[in-house]
Amino acid sequence: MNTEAATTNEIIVTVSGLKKSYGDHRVLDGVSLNVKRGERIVICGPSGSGKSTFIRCINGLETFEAGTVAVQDLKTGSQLTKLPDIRREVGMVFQSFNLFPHMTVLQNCMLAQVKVRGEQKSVARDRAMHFLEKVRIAEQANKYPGQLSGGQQQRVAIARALCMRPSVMLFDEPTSALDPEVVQEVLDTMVALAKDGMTMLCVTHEMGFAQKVADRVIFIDRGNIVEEAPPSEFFNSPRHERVRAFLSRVHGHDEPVAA
Amino acid sequence: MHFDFMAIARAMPFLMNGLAFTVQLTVVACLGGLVLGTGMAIIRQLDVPVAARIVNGYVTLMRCIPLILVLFWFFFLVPLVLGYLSGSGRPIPLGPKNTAFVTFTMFEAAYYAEIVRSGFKAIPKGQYEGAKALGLSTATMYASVIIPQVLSATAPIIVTQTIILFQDTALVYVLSLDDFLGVAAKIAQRDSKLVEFYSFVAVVYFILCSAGSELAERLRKKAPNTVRRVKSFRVLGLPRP
Repeated sequence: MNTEAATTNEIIVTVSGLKKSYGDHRVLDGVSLNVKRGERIVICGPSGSGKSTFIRCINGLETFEAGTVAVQDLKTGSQLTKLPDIRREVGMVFQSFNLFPHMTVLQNCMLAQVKVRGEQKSVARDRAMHFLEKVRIAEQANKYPGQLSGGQQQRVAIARALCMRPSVMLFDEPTSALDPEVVQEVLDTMVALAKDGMTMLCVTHEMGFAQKVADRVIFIDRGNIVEEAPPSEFFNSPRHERVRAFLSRVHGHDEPVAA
Repeated sequence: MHFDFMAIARAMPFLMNGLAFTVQLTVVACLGGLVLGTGMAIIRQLDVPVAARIVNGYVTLMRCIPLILVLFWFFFLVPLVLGYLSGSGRPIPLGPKNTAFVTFTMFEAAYYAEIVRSGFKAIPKGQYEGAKALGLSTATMYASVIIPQVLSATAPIIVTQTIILFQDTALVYVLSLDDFLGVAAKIAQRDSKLVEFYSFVAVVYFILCSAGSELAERLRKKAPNTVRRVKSFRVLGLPRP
């Protein structure tokens, strides 16, 4: 039951031959990926497989030794000269929210708009409220992050990223640090975002979410993309043994996924 | 034995002038030191080539020599250096007041730099990443996101350090400056009222400094909906003069 894809053929993110090592340990071993505008990609894999490192390379939170990352027509080589441009186009949501604790929810959402995009404060405030309403948390706008639950904080983090009007959103295990009872509200927000046609790359273990919204599921293991398929194919007839082993482990705790 | 505390009342205008200078020196050295110290901490945090090493050396040097020696240095040596640099060949004196302001600011900067640097370490990595991912420049990231959290996390230690500074300013007597203690000492000797004046001075220092400690304690307790506080800051275990 994929939501109707607004996918076009326009490539918006190109990653090619990405390599990164920590000492002798090769984290990424030549990963390549093209993402079309409007595409929803879920990235999964065992822990330590390099999936988080991979999406963190896209907005330059990690450096890499070889390969290129391009967002729209912006290229970063190893010198990352166009990094500010890329970061303006790419929003990111972290496992640990990373909201600024000394600012209110509203200020969190306004800061980068004013400082990076040079928006008027009134414009920034209106847009912040718009997206806070979108993630259904506008009534908490004047609270501090510490006064909110984890699920609420993560929704604020999503709104904060959206305020920059990114072309692509990266999610780095957005529900992994949450109490089980609030996972769903964050997933619902992400599903709504997917329905709006946002281009999304999500590192997550939420296979139900993958099933529901992903156009493609990518399995990364030992620094390589092992399998890449639409969810129906990925979950029902995975080609690789490693994927099958992973899925059976994940489904050990999860509801079995209905096709 | 007869104590004449009216002598203090008579000397009050002079004592208040002295106290005003002590407070002025503390405030200037505190604010100047904080600005300089924060700058130095940022240089070390960003590991700016060469500059980070210079700052490191400077901080170690300042923390390893007695304050009184630093005062003498600035008073006697800096005029010589300035004279040499200006090519006039004659020393260019700063005057005792300027020497005091410069010395205390420079000296405290080294201590504040270490405090702020310990604060940087207490800020979770995610704060830096969150700021970067939003596209904030390094300058904006530090100014809007990191420094405010560092200052709030280290506020109790900064206040404690400032109390020490407040007491240390009494050392300006070596430059014959009329700070609170200096004025009191002079009048006490003139009027032969040592006990009265030194008791009064002690009481005033005690009241002001315990008020400061109380403030530090409140800052420490004030429920942080912000970051975790820097719990301990070990000031280098060297005796102050």
